[in-house]
Amino acid sequence: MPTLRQQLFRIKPVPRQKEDVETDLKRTIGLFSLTMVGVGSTIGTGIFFILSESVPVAGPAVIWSFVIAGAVAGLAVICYAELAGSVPVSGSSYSYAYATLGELPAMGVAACLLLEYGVAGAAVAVGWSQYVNQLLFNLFGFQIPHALAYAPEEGGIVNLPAILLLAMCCFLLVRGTGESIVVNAIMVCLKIGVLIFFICVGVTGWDSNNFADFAPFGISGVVAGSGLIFFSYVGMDAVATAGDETKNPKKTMPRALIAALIIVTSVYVLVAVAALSAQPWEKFDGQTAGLSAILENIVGSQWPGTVVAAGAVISIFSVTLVSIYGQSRILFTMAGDGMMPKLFREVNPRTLTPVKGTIVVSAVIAVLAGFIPLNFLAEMTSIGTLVAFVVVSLAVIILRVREPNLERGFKVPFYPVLPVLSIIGCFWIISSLQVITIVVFIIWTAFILGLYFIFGRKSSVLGQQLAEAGPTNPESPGPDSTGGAK
Amino acid sequence: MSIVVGLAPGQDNRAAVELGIVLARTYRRRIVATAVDSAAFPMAPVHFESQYENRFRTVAEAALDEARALIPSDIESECVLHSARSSRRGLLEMCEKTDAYRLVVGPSSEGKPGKIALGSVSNGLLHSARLPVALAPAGFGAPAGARLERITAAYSGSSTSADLILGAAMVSAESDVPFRIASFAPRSRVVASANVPFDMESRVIDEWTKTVQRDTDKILCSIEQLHIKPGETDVVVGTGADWAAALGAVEWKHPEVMMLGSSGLGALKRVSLGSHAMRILQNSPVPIVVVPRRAKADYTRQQTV
Repeated sequence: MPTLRQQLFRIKPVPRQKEDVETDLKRTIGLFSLTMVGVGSTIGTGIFFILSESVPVAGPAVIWSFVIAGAVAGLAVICYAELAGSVPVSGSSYSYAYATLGELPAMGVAACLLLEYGVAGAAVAVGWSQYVNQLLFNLFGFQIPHALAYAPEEGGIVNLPAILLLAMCCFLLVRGTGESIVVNAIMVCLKIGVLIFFICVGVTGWDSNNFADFAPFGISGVVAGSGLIFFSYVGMDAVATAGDETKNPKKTMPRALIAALIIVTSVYVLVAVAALSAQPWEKFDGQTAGLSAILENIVGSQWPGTVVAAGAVISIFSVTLVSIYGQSRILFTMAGDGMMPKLFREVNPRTLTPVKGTIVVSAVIAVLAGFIPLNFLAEMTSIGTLVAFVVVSLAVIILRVREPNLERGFKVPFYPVLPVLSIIGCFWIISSLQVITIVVFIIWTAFILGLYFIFGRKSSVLGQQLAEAGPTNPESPGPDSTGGAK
Repeated sequence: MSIVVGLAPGQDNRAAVELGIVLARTYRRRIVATAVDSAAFPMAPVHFESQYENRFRTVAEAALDEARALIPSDIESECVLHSARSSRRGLLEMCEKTDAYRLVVGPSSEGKPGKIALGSVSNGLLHSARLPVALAPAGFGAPAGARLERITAAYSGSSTSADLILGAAMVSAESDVPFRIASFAPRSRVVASANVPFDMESRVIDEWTKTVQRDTDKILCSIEQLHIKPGETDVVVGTGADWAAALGAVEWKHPEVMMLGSSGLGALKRVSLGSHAMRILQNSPVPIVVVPRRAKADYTRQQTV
């Protein structure tokens, strides 16, 4: 029988040669496409509604919050790229952690990922419902009653539009992913178009007096702002998952990451500047469908607001779709490893999609979106992403120590400064989050790890394979000889 | 019982006739080649249109002559000009009259070579026929004296599909033709990824393949319980970058037909895109035998007889 330590830190072996041969054949993604992957999967996650949450915390200095969040995300994603390059398996950070750190850390990362994508989906759906309301009002002069459009804590009963949105996404994903992915590409263009439209119209209402009280809450306000905003950078790690298919990843990957970061951060900062110049920062608090409302105030007529609201309604839809999609596929992978119930692995023969898993994921996200207020959801997403980034940065250091000679497709520059900075940066932002967020996060992670101790540890496919191979098998992988992560 | 071959006057009917010959030889039935004269609709003002009618009759006779020339002497056949209100109705009337076993139609005139293309008549037939309809790809031809080399049943994961497989197995057993079950899926790629690898969908399809193989194994076992011995049975799964590649990924014999249930073709009249059965139909390199909804009961009843 394996000892507990062997169980917790057993590492999923990777079929190296085979994978190498296959990947050589399909390296098709160049710098431009990879940059667009980063921009497309990041932009629009939070910018449509995060200003009304973050400006009251940071004041106009929220501009710096964007820069800080962007920089920390960038550091972490560079670490992510090294990890992705040293493990010849393509996947999410869960797969990388499983192949480098072991089963228990992988479960920890999975807990973070489930937050990152699940809760992000819920947060985005809540933002969507604000824009739907705005659009309905502009076009037809009526709104969904407050009780049916807000979470209980915000004075409503249930956020019905958000639940409807998730039901629609679920339906599309169950039917098949082929179509939804084409739609997604169109959505990326639409998102960027709407944001540029906002910036162009927004600057016509320029009033530099609005920047007079630039940082009313000082540096702590700025950091707290980046805690909320960090959520807008969720998706940047998608660049690293494309490592397998990237031409010349050593060069392309960091360049694409930096290019995507600069583009995304610039767009965010420009949107923030345009919005802040148009109205005093105190007005952001409680403003729903923010970007749309600001334009209406500037122009004095409804149409620009309607354009932004319509764009937001359509493009946020796609963000939610991607969240549910990502979530269901991560669970699919985990169920294949025996770490989650088999139900997430079942593919419906007719639709060719994991129907049950998609429905469960959508239902859980719908409950979150229906009953939990936006700022809390945003913070939960941020903490999930930040902790996952900490683990990834740690993994880079651990792997450099444990396997210094491993061939890496891409190496972090300025090692060990950069990964250490990444860890410090993440903790800095985490420290600014609300206590309740951190507590809920710890409970959640403990819950997932508890499940692992009770079920996953025994149902682990890897564990069963190792047991079959026999304890005396010299090829049996596992960090018996190494220290493992503590 | 007969094999009714629908002829479209004025068009190239070779594909339909050739398929009709192969089926007739395999199932040991006679061919009733039918051209429908819908111009002779009795309500039409006769004097006025008689010239057109004569012209049409000449063309239809030519089509029948052509068919007569193609059908070899070892197959019993008859060539009929049938008057009816519409081509679709005429063919169905003829099927009823001759107690048809299969109705064979060719591709629409716009069909790409080697592909099946539904025209307005064949489309209508799939909805209203009470017997299986065989669709010939454009340019279909078979060597002289050929019988079907194999019958493939397409499995799509529904219970209808499982019933269909039992029916197809019965048909192949009766006519002593090898039988296999096939499933198809495209491997789509994730473009803007959500922290999942680009080949994620491929992994989903791998899992799907396992499920399909498990299901089809179960179906084959139930065939054994029914004491049907469909010769050598075989299960294949075709996957590829798109539907065309998925269908190209399995080997095909010549001539071979594929049985396809029409449950997925239900919405055909309105929007046909997105339906898996439709994609299979459009990309199949071999003739397809569609079992329309109305024919399903008869078709699957065979197995219990």
